[in-house]
Amino acid sequence: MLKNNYLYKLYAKSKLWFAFFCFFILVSIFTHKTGVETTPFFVWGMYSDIDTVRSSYNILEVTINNKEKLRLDQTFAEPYRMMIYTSFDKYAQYVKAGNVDSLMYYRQGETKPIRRIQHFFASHVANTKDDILQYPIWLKKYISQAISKKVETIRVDKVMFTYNADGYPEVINKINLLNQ
Amino acid sequence: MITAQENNKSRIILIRIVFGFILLSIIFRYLNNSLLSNMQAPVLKYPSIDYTYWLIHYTGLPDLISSSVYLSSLFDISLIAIVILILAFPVQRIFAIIFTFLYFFYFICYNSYAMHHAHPMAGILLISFAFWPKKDATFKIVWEGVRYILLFIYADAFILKLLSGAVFNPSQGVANIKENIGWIMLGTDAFVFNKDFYAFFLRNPILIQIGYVTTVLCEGALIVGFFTKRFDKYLFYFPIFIHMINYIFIDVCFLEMLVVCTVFLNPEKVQERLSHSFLYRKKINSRLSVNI
Repeated sequence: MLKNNYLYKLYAKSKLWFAFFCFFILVSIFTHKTGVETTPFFVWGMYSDIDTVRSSYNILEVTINNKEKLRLDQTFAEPYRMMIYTSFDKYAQYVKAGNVDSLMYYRQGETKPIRRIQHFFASHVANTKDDILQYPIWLKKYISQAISKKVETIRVDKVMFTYNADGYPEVINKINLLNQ
Repeated sequence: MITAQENNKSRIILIRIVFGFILLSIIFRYLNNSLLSNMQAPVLKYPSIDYTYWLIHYTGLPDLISSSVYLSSLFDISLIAIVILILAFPVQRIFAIIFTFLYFFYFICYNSYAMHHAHPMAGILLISFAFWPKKDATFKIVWEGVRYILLFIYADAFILKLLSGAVFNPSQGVANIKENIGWIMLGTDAFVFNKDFYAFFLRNPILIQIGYVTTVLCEGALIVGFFTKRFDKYLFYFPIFIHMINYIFIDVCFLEMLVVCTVFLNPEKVQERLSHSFLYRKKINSRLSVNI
């Protein structure tokens, strides 16, 4: 029975790979228990939380050069559109917090040695105010390179919409988040 | 009895399948303006509360490479070149080891600068470790280990949905879809998966919920792989089905994750099928005619 066990076979074949595999299992258990994901010990919990139907939803709408809307509806272009919408989402959060990345203050003022180490690393890798202010310029540059067109102006709106009884969307309002 | 030479052949076939897929995946990322040289020196990063990201960003290497046109281009060229070298010299495991490090670095950089810790590339990262061992016998057992890890990925996704109660939530499917198809519904209309298509499903939420529960059960069905390899030829299609449904209904592209399906392949059978394929026979025939 034991001899058919994978870990037993692995131990017999290679002690190093056995140690590697056990380490992977143990750290994965730890990351699941704490909920703190540490690459490459992932927690595969995407869409695992209970989701409820809401009365309204939001998307970002990006308009360049005052007229051209960027296409963000193509699923196969996920790596490209993520460079735009997930980064903008975080940027908007920083702006809302007064051009501050909250990671800068992670565990600040806590006295335990482990917390002080965490604060040390977090504050070093956090975005500075200057980085945050540079973001719109970078966004223009990135889009310009991606679509091979000069981007003079960029406008980002949050479009709030709802679904009607027939399942079609109806726009409720648009809130401007960036206009440069 | 399987000889060492046959073991080696199986390994070469698996390497070529996996890294052929990886090459396509890197081209896909290039076309999607997502390689380091495409990024135009990003100014913001998102290491989140992930110690691996913290350590790598603390070195300053990601910012140094991504901010330089030359260094980022050199990095991208190296990434592509190493995959080509692996395809050309599949028995040289050093290339596979270098690839893992380069891809790991790219993985961290992309997720940091896109500011979202996405998982589609994780399959490529994990599977690349399988080609590290020197001996074919060790490779075989590590490959089996990677198969277990990949079964764990889907089992984990299933169990987390079970524990949170999401799978018992009658409106989970509709809520997931409504949340994610905004761009499609407000964007340019497509030919097949268009607004009418999604509106039809939203008017029939029972169909969505059946689809959602079926997808979650498919994740759970992969648990059977922990106990037997007898169903591997069927399990091969489960990740494809899961990610295809997610692609169509939740607007999420996990195509790169499909590399994990290779762990369910029987390399001996792939070799046999290849030998029956038209192209292979043509190649053999042309070699024979040259010899004659």
